[in-house]
Amino acid sequence: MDYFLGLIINGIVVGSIYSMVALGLVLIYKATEVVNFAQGELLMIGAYICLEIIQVTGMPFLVSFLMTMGFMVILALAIERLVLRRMMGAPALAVIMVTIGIGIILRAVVLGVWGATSIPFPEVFPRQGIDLGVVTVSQLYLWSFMLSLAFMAMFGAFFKFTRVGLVMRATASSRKAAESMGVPLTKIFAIAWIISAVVSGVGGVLTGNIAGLSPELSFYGVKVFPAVILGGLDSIVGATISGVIIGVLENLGGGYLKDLTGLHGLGPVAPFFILVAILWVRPTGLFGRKDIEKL
Amino acid sequence: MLQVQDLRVIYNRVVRVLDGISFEVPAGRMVALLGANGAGKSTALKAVSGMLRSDGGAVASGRVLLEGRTVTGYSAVRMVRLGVMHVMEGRFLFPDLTVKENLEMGAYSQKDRRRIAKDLAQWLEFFPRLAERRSTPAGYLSGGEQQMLAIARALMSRPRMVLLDEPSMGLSPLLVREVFRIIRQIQQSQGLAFLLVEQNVKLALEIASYGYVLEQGCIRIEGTSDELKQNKHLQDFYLGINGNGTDRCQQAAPQ
Repeated sequence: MDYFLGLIINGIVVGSIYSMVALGLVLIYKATEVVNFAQGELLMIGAYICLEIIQVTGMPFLVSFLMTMGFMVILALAIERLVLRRMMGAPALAVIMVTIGIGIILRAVVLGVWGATSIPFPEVFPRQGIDLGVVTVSQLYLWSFMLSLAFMAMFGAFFKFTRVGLVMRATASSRKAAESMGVPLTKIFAIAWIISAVVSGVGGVLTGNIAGLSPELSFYGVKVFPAVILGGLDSIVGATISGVIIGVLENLGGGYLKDLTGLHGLGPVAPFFILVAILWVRPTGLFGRKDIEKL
Repeated sequence: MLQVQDLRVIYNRVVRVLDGISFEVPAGRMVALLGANGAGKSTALKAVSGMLRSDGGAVASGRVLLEGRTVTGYSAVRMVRLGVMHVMEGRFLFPDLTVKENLEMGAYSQKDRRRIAKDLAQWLEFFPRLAERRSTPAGYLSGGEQQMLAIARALMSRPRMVLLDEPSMGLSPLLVREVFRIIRQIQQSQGLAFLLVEQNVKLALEIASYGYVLEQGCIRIEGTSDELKQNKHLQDFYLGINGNGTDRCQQAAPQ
């Protein structure tokens, strides 16, 4: 029973990070109709930058964390200005190809600077468990969970209550209508990329804390896809809930499938099985919806 | 207020849609741009409002003047700031946003929050149907309500000129009358300049003071509404009546 609960809690924690990164993916997709295939690489670079800042400057984690966020903003702006703005008006598919290219470049940078070997992250949150009554949870996991929840709540509030948030939702709802209201679309695209890069960076730092750093972190971009597809590419709430579902499934799969089947490494695959099954039944995902029928 | 001079518009660098048209909208007046499907009416509006670019179109030559200032090829962002609002064909609401949020988006170019709130209250009072449905996503509104919302949203930007494309589209005849009544009322009470594109020539000429008839990218006829109502060509091809006042179809039928 403890084993089972442990897997569930692990799953929820990892899943909440998936949710956050998925939010970034959905955000860019909704605003610009582009699927960002460099999302995992953004996560990876965020983790490495944070580690580098801690090691080189010796600053406390919180400061390094904030500086990493600053770096992610600059990186997103650079990508948007130098690459994507020049692609305005190009077919979405061409821009998607470009994001794959950006991903490859980022991975090459990480391999070149830090190498391919796994690096442990300095201990920031103690791994020591806290007794929650039913089950003991590592403080690291608890902190990661709460931080990703806090970030998602923050962005949720941003979209719901601020004027810029409204403009972003409007642009996601109809780009052409937004343009006709005088909304400068390039500015909105830039903000979408910034938020997306920041949540990826946070995800990277948290994942790095839990699992250590390696270029493999970029694989998170692929792992987040089941969450996004499950939730429906256009639903932020859906992506959030699905992230947790995927995280739990992955952990349960990893925990039990090996004993059941005698095969290794089935954990990360389990969500994809579920993904395929769900797409059979509901092609728009669990929460995605078809366009509201226009009269 | 608005002058368009010898405007040529080309789509995708090859397809010529407008072949040198000129027209004028005086301040505070309603001018109609009439013509059949594909005559280039919507293109003319987009060329003025800056919405041409996202459709792959471009102004090849000619000039657009707003109060004497050259604004040819200006982006929608700049045109909205100059007070020109385009209500596009098909309304282009934000289907996922509520009625209230749609209206707030209309005021995107406005910065004074108190004034925005005041305008919002004013237009919700003017359109009681929208007030009732203020928390409903715009995608769930009926066709008539959507058209009202599109117009109200444009007014939220405090425009000096509204480009209104095909407000009758997809509406029942009764609703079309209602929408046109409201448009006239707003135009007169606000002293706004309107450039109206409409296939329903009869209705358009009832509320516009001047009209241009566009055929295949050129202006074929122009005149005051009364002149146009008497025009033989217009009667034959757009109003469905000939000089004797009988229906063309009736006349063609064997006696």
